[in-house]
Amino acid sequence: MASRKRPPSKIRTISIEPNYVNRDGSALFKFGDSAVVCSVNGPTEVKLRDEKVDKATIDVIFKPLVGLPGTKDKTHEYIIRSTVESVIKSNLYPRTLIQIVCQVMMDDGNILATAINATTYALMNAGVEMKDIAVAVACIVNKDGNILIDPELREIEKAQSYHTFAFSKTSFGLLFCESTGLFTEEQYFECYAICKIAAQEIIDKIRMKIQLDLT
Amino acid sequence: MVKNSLAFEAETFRKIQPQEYLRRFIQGNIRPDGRSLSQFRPTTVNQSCITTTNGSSMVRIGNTTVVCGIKAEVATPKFNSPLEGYLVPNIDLSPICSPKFKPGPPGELAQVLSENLNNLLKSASVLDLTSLCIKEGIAVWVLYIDLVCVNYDGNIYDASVIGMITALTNVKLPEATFEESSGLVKATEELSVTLKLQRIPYSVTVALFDGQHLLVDPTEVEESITSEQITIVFDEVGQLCSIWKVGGLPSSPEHLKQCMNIARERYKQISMIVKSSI
Amino acid sequence: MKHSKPTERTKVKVVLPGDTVSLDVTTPGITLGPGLIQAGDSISCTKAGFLVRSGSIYWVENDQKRYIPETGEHVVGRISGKGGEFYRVDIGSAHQAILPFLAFENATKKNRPNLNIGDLIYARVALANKDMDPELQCLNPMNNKADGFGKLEGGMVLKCSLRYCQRLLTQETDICKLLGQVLQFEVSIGMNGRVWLSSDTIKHISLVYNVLKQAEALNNSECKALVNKLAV
Repeated sequence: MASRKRPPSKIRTISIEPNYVNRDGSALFKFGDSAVVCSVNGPTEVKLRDEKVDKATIDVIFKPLVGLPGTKDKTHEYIIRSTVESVIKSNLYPRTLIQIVCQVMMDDGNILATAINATTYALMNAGVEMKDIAVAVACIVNKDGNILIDPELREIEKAQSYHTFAFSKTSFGLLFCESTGLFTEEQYFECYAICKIAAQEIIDKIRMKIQLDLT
Repeated sequence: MVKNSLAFEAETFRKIQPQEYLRRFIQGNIRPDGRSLSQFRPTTVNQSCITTTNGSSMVRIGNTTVVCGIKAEVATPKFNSPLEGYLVPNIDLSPICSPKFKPGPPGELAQVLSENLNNLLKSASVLDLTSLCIKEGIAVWVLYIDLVCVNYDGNIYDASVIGMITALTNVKLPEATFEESSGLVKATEELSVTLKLQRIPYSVTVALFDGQHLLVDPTEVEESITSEQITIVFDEVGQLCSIWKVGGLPSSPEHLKQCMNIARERYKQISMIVKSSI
Repeated sequence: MKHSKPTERTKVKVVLPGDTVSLDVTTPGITLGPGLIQAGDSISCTKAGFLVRSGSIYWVENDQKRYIPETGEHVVGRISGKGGEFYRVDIGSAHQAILPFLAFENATKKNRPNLNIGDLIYARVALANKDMDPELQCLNPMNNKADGFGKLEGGMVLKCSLRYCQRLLTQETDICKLLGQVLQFEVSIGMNGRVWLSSDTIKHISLVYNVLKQAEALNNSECKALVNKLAV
């Protein structure tokens, strides 16, 4: 705890690099030393087997930092897909495929939150029409009951409970939430409130980056 | 009632307009299977039903049926944690339980469920893994927790958690010792050692329809229409062990609070059912 | 192709998907372009970028690269297949476009156009609908004349962002005009992020290609400097 250089409710420095790879849309999103590249291809042709007559098929591939994808990465794929499916206006792209590929570049905790943010930016970069955007933040409650936002790996290892939230930009409702460990109801809603403030900060950052990017 | 050419069967209506179909029911404060919004399906638990395993159980929630069997084997521990045994949960969703699952390697849902069960066991430290140690750095117990879904009708996670936890509580292991001279693990014929669980978590899943109606214990039909579910896991002292919400419309903290209250009440029900099954 | 100078465009502000824009939907003549949708009385954005206004037309401008066909737009495409009555054309959209044999000037059942797989064409989107494959035509529907549509001989294709194509067309980036003062070349600008260009020698073609490619990231004064450097 003593080694944490920033205040408990301060997220690490965010950096975003759009058009990171040569695809329809892509972005590198970084929370300090955690980085994920996301590339979006689409709307493009879909395999007949996966074709949906009334909406786009959304396919997510999550590649871990090292090794072959396991159940954890499959779970990440499922989470990212469910989260973006609820914001993409997929009825505008019937019989097409929107393919999202996430590759972990550096891992220092909160990979899922980083990947969700990278995906959000890459989708905007690709110009896929969405009714809302998802921004994700993670936090932990440590053994002393203190809430640390955007924890690093070594902090997560010692955590009492670990929470990842994805908020909707317009309503600040919960699009996705995964909480593990042992915690109380009060702690949970405290985490929720703190992460919500951080999510606003990320949205402001994204907005600034979009502006910078286009001028 | 006059039958006109536009009238059609309820089943046809469900297929054409699934959302509207469910909405009509909800307006009447009832669900397609006749339950009220806050009513759970009849739940039964059957313990130690498979004699060839070390621990087993069968759980039915309405038509959803899950069988859990735990098999113990001896393995070498990890170098980093020489005292700790392993728990390996795995869920099998084969075409037997629902036509929506394909044969072959585990599909996405099965992998996600297995991962979530594993996360729950680990992060809520349900079992002290050092209690599975036979000889430090040399031999530990590994418990393969295999769950097989026999009939899929929604809310598989709740059924799996109840199945897994009750099977863990009735696990019986032989007394095992490590013989230095032969370098072998010797186990007694008799199965006498039971496990002491540090925590008894049960999960409760609530589906959210139209962003406002909470449907507890959703069936497969309801799951496919609502697209958003909130799963809350409590332990016996009312501590939260896990919250999981994926997809669908954004939900508010009020919904989560309501779900937590529902989950707390349901916990009592489940533990009664499990107790009476011994 | 001739293009009249459009009305002054103003960048209103940066928007993100889900932002609501305070525009009065009852204003007569108000038109919502790409990236904006009306829901009841309010207008919300579906894309990230600059909200741009030109007269009473509003849209969201971004760096999209994937083409979504729109009726009436001009595109550069590549013949990718041949059916009984039509060609299949790759125009960079999700689905391959259809170009009927009869959608050419003076084409009849007997007199078919002679195009081969791999040929480049300049065409107009005759029909675009999200539920159907886009349909092209190589004639101007007003007078049934080719009017510059048809096969593109020689040259090469530059792939770029959709916004750059629009900038070239509206001459917001006047690189074509500037470069034209230095050497002779031909361009066909498609709205689908593809620009076909040709000149007298291969050396000049590759020069034009590189200049146009570089100019995507440049503003007008930088373009001028680039061309001046070439002219020397």
